[in-house]
Amino acid sequence: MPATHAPVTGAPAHSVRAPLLTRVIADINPEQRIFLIDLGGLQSQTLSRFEAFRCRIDVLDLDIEELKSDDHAPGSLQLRLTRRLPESLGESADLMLCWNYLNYFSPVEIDAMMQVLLQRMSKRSQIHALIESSATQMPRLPLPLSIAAGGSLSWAPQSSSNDRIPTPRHSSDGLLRCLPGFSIDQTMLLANGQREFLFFRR
Amino acid sequence: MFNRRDSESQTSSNDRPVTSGSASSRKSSAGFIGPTIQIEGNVVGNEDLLVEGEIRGKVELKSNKLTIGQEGRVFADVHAKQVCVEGQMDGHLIVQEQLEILSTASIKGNITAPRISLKDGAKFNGTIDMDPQAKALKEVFGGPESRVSSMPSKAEHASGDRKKSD
Repeated sequence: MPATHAPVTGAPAHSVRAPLLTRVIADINPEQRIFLIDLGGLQSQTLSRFEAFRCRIDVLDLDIEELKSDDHAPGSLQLRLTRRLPESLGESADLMLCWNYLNYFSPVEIDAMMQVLLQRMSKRSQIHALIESSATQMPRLPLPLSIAAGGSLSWAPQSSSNDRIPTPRHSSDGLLRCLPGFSIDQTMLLANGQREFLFFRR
Repeated sequence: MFNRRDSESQTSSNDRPVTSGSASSRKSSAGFIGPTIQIEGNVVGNEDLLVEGEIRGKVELKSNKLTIGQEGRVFADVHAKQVCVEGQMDGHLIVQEQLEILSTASIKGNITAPRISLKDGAKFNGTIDMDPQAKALKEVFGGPESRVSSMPSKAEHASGDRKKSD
């Protein structure tokens, strides 16, 4: 099972406004079926937010430590990722929610992952991601984020014992090289120092 | 916005509401498969069922509720009116009305259910299909007119949400 941070129980959740994700959700046509790929774990608030739509969500619940395990053989990351992917059932995804996961992979690893994931995306798909921008350190594992009321992203406070690691400082150009066929729709600097990216397929 | 669905589904449902609480509190009103029992094959019935044992095969409770208790292990395709998962589930879960996933649940496979309530902490890897017009729902339970007609459509929900956020 994926390794996760232990939340501090009883403490109020943190949140930050994510205007681009808010816009993406506002643009969803409730009459049309929409298919999402969620790289993160299943979160109740996120599920509640999308329950209003005719929605399919493929929840990958990626385990960073398992995906990046000692086996460095070519294609092993792709093989492990493929094992997490549900059957496509003949559908292509409209939106991929990367949350903060891309910060935990090198450009080479992101490129390898996207070679698998982009095969599942439709011709007019979008990718949403949060990239560390001003911080020099981040938690050792991705914080479980969910979509709270008003379009904010929220996460439970973590215990101070959680290890921290240097942030990767991915550039826009570097990310685009990993996303062939995609362009940047818009980016926003968030109040927590992360940059919110919305990519769309050209 | 997020509480609205819960309150509406509770007041508009013509059937027994999906109840929370431990599996043991519901044991008396449902059929029971105990922790030492293992079943291989099809389980079909017209009463609620609580599973604390193991089922491998297929479960059909199209008019009733299946509860997979904390010790329960179901490796099967499940077709049921309502489902509550506290234990382990591996298979295609097709639920006509509401699926309740508690924090102790571990689910792998596909879920098709128009209403899902989730306690954070549950483990899941697979597909969740919440489309009331999903093909799997129609194939198992028939057309949408046969399901929960008193509930507002998802489009009505969404337009209501947007009006509130404007």
